[in-house]
Amino acid sequence: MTKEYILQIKNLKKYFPITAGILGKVVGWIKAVDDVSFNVIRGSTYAVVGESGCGKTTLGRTIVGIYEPTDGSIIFKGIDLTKIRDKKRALEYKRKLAMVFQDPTSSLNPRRKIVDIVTTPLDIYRLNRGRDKLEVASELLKLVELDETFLYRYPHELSGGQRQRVAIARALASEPELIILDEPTSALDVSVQAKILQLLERLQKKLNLTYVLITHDLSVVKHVADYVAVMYAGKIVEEGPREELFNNPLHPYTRALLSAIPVILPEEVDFVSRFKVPLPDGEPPKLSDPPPGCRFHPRCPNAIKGKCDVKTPPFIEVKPGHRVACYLYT
Amino acid sequence: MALLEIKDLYVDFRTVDGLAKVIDDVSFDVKEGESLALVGESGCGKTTIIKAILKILPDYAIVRGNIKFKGINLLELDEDKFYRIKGRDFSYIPQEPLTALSPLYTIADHFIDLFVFSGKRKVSWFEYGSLRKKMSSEVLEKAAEYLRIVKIPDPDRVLNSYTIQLSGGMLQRCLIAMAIAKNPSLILADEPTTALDVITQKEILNLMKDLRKRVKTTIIYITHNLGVAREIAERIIVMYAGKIVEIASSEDVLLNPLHPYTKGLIESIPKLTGGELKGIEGGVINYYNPPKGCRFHPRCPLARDICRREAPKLIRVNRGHLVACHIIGERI
Repeated sequence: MTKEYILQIKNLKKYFPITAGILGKVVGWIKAVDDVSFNVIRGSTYAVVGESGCGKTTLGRTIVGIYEPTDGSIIFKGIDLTKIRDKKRALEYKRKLAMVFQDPTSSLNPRRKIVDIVTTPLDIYRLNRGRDKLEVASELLKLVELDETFLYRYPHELSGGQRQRVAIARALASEPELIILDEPTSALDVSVQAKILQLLERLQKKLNLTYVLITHDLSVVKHVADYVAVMYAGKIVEEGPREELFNNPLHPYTRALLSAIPVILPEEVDFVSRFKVPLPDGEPPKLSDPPPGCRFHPRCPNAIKGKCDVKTPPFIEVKPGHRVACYLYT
Repeated sequence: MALLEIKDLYVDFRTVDGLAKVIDDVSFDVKEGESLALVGESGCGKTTIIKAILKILPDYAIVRGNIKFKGINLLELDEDKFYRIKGRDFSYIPQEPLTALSPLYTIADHFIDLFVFSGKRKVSWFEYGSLRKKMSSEVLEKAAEYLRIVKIPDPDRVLNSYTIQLSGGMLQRCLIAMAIAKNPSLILADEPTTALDVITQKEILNLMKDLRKRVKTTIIYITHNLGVAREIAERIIVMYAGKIVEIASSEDVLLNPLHPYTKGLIESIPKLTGGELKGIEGGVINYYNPPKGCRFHPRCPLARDICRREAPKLIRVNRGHLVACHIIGERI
């Protein structure tokens, strides 16, 4: 099987300026995404995991174009999105890229009916010619397993799970090939979360979708992802196929993250206790002033003095597809 | 004897849309020295119970039943006496440290206020000034000591900091220090780790387990995460839609769940070892017009006629294992 990369991120950077004074002089940068590269295979699910504030949401938003990247390239279906100047052509590509946001309560306009919400992308991408809006909307709702009675309701009349279904329907409206899912189930209860994850899986098979899943929940990742990248303070520290990463985590941060998951079954307890590592001290660094060298070194139990605190570790491949940025493995 | 005894508790909210029957016939005991987790999904009424115990529900809430603390019914007590008990015996750890603490005052101010207001319903301005002066040095000494217990390395810097200068994990530690500083006999913790990252959450949970060994207190811990409940609690109460559906030791709840809701909940949690996710059909319940009979019946795979007619009572299945379900009850 040949692997086709639908999305390639190369050395992507997104810095936000810190300004001061009435003239808005730039006094520093928040390096939310700092030199991130990865490839996503068509039809797979690529998960980006990390704690809050590690830059994973910024990464997702930069890919869909909400933020202008500071540097680097986003190659989607062979075309570098950062270099397209022709607006019309850019839209052609962008409509194949959609996003589902974390909190459906704030991502759906409370003053518009569901039918208008899910067909908004059609207006934006001018796909509505010759198609009945109502028909399209009820088809979309059918895809996410909601019936037509929802068409004329407002978001506040819906439960959290139903709202997230509407948000997914809206993302599907422009017939995308890749969807960025930014914490799609974090705002939901577990019994509803399971249903939404099932729906996403069914949709992926049916419509041959590719997902980039941004989440902090490693147990969810274990269930849905094919590839996993672990992000820490704006950088990817480890990346690999799911089974490999969960069974053989290498980076001290990944191991700490895995060992801290609250689990319920005895076999899970056994699984987690395999990574028995001392929990890292302190807190993630400020992205405006990250430490030199490996960004994890001030908290790392295995930090090598004079090495980890001096130069950024290279991202090396230890096994096919399994890459890690840590001096312990060089 | 039970430290806290809740019996036939009902809480209704009077709203413009009608009467919402939020807590419906809830009874349970909390033994001295135990750690108990109240588990359920959002909107199931776990926080309402804690707020009913502390009497901090809004005015439109109607509370009926018995909440007995050391044999005294708190609901019948007059305000001054209640505040004295609350100040001496209860501590509350809220969910969101950033909203629980004021951004206008330092951590030191919060500590002083905690002691100045403790056990009093009202403090006049004049009294406040003099009490503050009198107590502050002593309180700050104590505060530094407790901050060290919750593993804050430099208590003096933290005491002089404002909330925006500290991270979520640090603030939650401060709140825990405040909660244990008065040596309470009952700590009520409302999802204290939900807003935190997993590594910080693990640290806080380890800390609370340590503390429980050192200072022998009773904890009621609210969470929606069964994994967290397993870490912290000896006994778990599972709630659904304002009712208790199952009470058992944490081991029994997780490995041998009986109620269809508990089963469904556990089967919905993504496991690290894989396995299919089931989920539960249907969604939130309408508290204005809750389902007749068992409140879970519209979502229950086992539901029969009797479930639609009659509300099930909690029945004892094993030693210490109680479940409220007609179908499971019949089988035993």
